[in-house]
Amino acid sequence: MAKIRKRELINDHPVMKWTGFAILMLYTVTILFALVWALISALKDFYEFRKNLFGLPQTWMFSNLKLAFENLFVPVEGREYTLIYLIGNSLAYAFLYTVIPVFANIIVAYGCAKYKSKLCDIVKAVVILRMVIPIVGGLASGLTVSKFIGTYDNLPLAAIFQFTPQGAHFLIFLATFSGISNEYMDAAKIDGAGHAKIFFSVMLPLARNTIIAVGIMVFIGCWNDWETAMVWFPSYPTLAYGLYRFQFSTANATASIPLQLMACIIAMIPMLIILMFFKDKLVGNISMGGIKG
Amino acid sequence: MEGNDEKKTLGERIGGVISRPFAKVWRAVKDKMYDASVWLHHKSGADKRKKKFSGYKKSELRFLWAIFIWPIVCFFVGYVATNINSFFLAFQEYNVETDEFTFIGDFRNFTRIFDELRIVPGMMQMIFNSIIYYLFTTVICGAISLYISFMIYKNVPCGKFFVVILFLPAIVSNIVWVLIYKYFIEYGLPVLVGDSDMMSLILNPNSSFEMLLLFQLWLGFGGNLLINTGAMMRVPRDCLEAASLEGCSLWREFWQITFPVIFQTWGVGIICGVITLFSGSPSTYAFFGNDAPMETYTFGYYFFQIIVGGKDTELNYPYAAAAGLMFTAVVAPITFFVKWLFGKGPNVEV
Repeated sequence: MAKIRKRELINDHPVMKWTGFAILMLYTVTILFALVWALISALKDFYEFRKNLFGLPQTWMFSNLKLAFENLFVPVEGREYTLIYLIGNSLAYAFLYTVIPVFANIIVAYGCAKYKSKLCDIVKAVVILRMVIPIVGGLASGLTVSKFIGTYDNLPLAAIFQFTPQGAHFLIFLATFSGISNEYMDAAKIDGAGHAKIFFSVMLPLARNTIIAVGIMVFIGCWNDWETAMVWFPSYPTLAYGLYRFQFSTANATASIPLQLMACIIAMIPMLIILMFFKDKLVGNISMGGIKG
Repeated sequence: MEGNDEKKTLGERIGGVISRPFAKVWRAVKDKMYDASVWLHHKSGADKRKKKFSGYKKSELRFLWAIFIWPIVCFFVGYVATNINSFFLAFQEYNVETDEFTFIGDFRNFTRIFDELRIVPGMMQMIFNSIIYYLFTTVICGAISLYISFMIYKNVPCGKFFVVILFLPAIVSNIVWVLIYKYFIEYGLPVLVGDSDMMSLILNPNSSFEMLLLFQLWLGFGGNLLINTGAMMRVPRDCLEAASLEGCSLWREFWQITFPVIFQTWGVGIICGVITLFSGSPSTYAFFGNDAPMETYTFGYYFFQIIVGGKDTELNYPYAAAAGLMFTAVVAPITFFVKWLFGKGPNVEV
């Protein structure tokens, strides 16, 4: 049987269609140009960078990759953190601040979605209220509190105190678990499974795709975050924070623009690899339930 | 009966007449006492059956408390304690010598912002920049991202490729884009326009704020793409086909069919974005650190910079806390007003 092709309404409006296409193409050109220019500039030395801004390198400085690891550093309390340390700190921060908050969102959303209890209603209402009520200017107070309880500049301890549901991810998981049929739970109960067993062995695997998608998005956000490291963990400089610091450095090696752009390329590569392998999970639809207007 | 009355003695008859009203009163008192005892019995709940939790319900409650207890503690520490402390901090000042906060009990931290706006030259620009930034991101960037989302939703040619490109600004760190943009404007643009002595448009105070807004637009092109397209996909297909058969144009389809369906979802972003009036900035700190030109100041940048930049920033904590409270007092009613306004808009269930 012949396949019936869906006819898009946009094909009946060529002006709008090609205008949209042109705008998107122009935007694509700017983004790709920026990335390619950064890559080419990273493979030049500083003098060639100044003389030959848009051409291909006359001397391809692949050694800039090695120089970036050797010469770029962030000074913290008399210690110099080179790129290797910055990458290590980035991995540690991204891992802790992905696993702990995402698991908190998962487990609280599961409880609120699957159990009928006043406690669940209160928790859900508080989480949503926290999203809706705007509080401005909590940074100073937050720093004071965190210094008081000892989580300031203490990455593992601060991560433990991130075990609280917040933001849109809670709503995403709430929608996910609400959408899973209770028959799975009932069948597991009949087979004698306890609450923990149902959660870990039945519900988590069913929500696997959403967990992976949200986890990847959070990991990317943490890897790219430079402000948190600067404000809350000055002794744990991350790669993104290092990129921020390099632009203001007066040291000869660190101030080299090609080396800084090489560090940018190094920071980008893991994320582009993640995008390549998990593109479908990242750009697929994620529904958000529980709040509307 | 007359026969019975004749048999009663005079004393008995007199006794009956006297005791009859007392008996009535006593009967009335006994009735009232009975009613009171019934009421008390009902109120005490003794008549109700005691609610007994089954073993499974108890295990359910134990499980729920086990999974909620630490998040609740973290919520109290990270949110409740922080906001309560914000209130107390606003009435304190920091002593550099003793490294402690002391209670001052007056409103000097609250009045400082007004004094600075009046005295410090260029600070009034902060108000205009904050409003401009908010309107720019809400109206212009919001409209563009809605248009882009609609184009992607309508399967514009090479749509899937464009989705990946639109996603790149979210995948790659903001600071990477800052560096690329900054060095291109500083070194590349003068070469392109043929004026090697041209001052960097980002460093030039007359154009720096506009360049930051342009940067924000460039990165925000695909903003909320997933949320917008996800909401648009809720529009029933047969509704669109019927509209197409009726000769509906693309613009009319968007305005009269798609937009009402996504209105409330889109509105959530607008409502939550009101807070950026006092906390947002176009990546000013990423570009300049602590040394941004006054022409690029917004409230968000200013209060971030006085807290994290330089030495002895604890001196500014009480001031920032007081300003935060004042801003919250302004933003909260605006947020609820905007929420109320959006509640009046179309709310289409599909």
